[in-house]
Amino acid sequence: MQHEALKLDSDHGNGSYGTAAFEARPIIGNAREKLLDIKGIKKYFPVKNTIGVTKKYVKAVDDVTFHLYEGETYGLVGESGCGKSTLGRTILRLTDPTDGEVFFGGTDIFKLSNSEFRKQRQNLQMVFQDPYSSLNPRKRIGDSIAEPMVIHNIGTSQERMERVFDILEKVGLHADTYYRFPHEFSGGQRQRIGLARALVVNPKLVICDEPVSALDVSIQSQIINLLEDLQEEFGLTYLFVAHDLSVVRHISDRIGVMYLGKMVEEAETDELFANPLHPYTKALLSSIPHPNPKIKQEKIILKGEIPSPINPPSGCNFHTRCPLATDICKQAVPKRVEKRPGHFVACHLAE
Amino acid sequence: MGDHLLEVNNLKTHFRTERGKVTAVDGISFHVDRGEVLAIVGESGCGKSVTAQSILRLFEEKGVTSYDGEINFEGKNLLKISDSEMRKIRGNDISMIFQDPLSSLNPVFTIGDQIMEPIMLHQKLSKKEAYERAIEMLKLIGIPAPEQRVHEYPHQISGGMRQRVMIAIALACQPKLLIADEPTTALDVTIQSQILELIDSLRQKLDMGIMLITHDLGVVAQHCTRVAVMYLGEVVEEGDVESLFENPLHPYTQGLISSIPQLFGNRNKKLSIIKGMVPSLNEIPKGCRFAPRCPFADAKCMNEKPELETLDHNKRIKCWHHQTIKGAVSNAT
Repeated sequence: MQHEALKLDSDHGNGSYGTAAFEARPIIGNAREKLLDIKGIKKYFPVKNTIGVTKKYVKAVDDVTFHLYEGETYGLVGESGCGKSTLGRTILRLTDPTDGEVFFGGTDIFKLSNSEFRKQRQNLQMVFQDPYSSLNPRKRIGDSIAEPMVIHNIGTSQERMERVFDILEKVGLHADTYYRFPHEFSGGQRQRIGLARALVVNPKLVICDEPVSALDVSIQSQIINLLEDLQEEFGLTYLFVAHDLSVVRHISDRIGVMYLGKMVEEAETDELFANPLHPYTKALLSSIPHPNPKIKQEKIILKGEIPSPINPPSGCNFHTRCPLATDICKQAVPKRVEKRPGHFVACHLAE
Repeated sequence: MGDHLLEVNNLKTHFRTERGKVTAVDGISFHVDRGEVLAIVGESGCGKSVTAQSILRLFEEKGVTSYDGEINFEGKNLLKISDSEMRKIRGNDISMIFQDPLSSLNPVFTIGDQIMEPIMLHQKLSKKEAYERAIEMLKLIGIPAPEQRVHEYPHQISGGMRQRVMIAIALACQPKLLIADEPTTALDVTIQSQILELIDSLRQKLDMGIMLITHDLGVVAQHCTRVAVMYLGEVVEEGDVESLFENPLHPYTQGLISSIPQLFGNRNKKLSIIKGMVPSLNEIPKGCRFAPRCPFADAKCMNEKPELETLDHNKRIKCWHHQTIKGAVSNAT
């Protein structure tokens, strides 16, 4: 399979992209290679008043810095409206970034022209939350899955067809899926189709935007297992955006927690769950209902709701709901500090 | 008998469709007492929402829906009473919270109007008294500045607030039974815990019975007293929360519990799965309905329908092999 995929890759007119971008770039002081290095990424949406003049911005993603190691799963969690999906979409330039840099294989992909970037998209794929609305209802599944190869000019039509049958088998679907239409499938099957379409061009990074949130528990576990198997087989790197913390804990190597457009904490999964430092992370972890009736939880109930990102609070933007907030939190924006190895937090009070 | 707040006996709800008659709820029985929380758990399409809506007789189109069985509420069979009697119970003695608050609130009326409506209708209070009661309700559910909020429209407030307004409407007449259909599914965890704490404290204050429909087993474990697990229109297992989580007897319950990712302990082991998917109601298996997906199924399961057996400690189970399966899979919790 892997072999077959590589062959297809080199058939591609600009086949060198796939390999040249991935020559070893050792990072000093860290054995693992960074696949994607995201620095100070911002996405502001303008809010226009009645005469069309922009005076305010929704700061959906506000100065977020992190990186992805090759082959890992990075979980991005936060409540609705915190900017986690926008962050994923901005990295793929599905919406134009306001500011920041994203290094992929040594080049800043935000600086590439549209046509140059389109070639890179082969390496950077996305799986969406609702696979039904992201599949063309009038196209046969096989054609939908083959389309990325057509766009990237990979293989002959015969080879493309073989590749689609191959990938359908990998994601656990029958070969006759090729000739059917999206409405004939259940949610779980559609999610498998979405995955097949992302993987057909042999990407390096797959951004999964809430891939299992719309599925029932018994189907959810099937898809999670599939994601893990495919990662192992193809050496994929996942950016896994979700709000369900137990799913994120299961699948992620490292987790970033977002609140109101900012990344407030980042750590390896076990470290984050054992030692949450940010008061928001603590509240978030304590409010997940534990599926064991014998464990009675001490919940930290937060006051109020997420403020509007148009007028975010001054200083630390969590101070309006934070049980520990002091005067400094209202005035100064906390910096991202590495409190323990690999454990970053943006809070004035974190020890 | 007769001393439960709500007692459902062998309820069947049929719908007439283009492809023939479909029985979405097929002979289920359960009860809810005052002050307790019964969870109805199951995946989409198992009939849990239809059950809830059948209790309130929300499917009333003649010729399309028909009911069998009994729904006894305080000794009255709700399926036998007249429409006008039913209207007196709906929203007054039994009320319901729906999953999606935006589509169940009326966009052209203020929040205040919508809370006042059931109060004026059922409790026969004057407009002024109802207004005061509405403000009181908004305070009770923790909405800041209720005197202003009462004049706002649903689109002006956030999702969490809308869900609270739904709760305020449902509780305005102090119902004896509250049916909550996935009340927190559309909400974030921190808001979810606020809402569930609120429902919990109101239950204690008003001594309501609650029927909570959910697919989130964490919510069940933390907030409910008893659980009924549904699969394809039937109750397959019922028992109190602790025994159900500690010692699930039905292979479906076992599968559900072990397929959720864990919050503690080893996170690197593979999730166990329930193979296949829920069949459509037009293609109901002949024997045990779970048999085609069950790891323990044999020829008997494929051909003969099991009955719901009652065991010790009010536990009920619908499975041919629950005694042999017992303990076979126990990686729950």
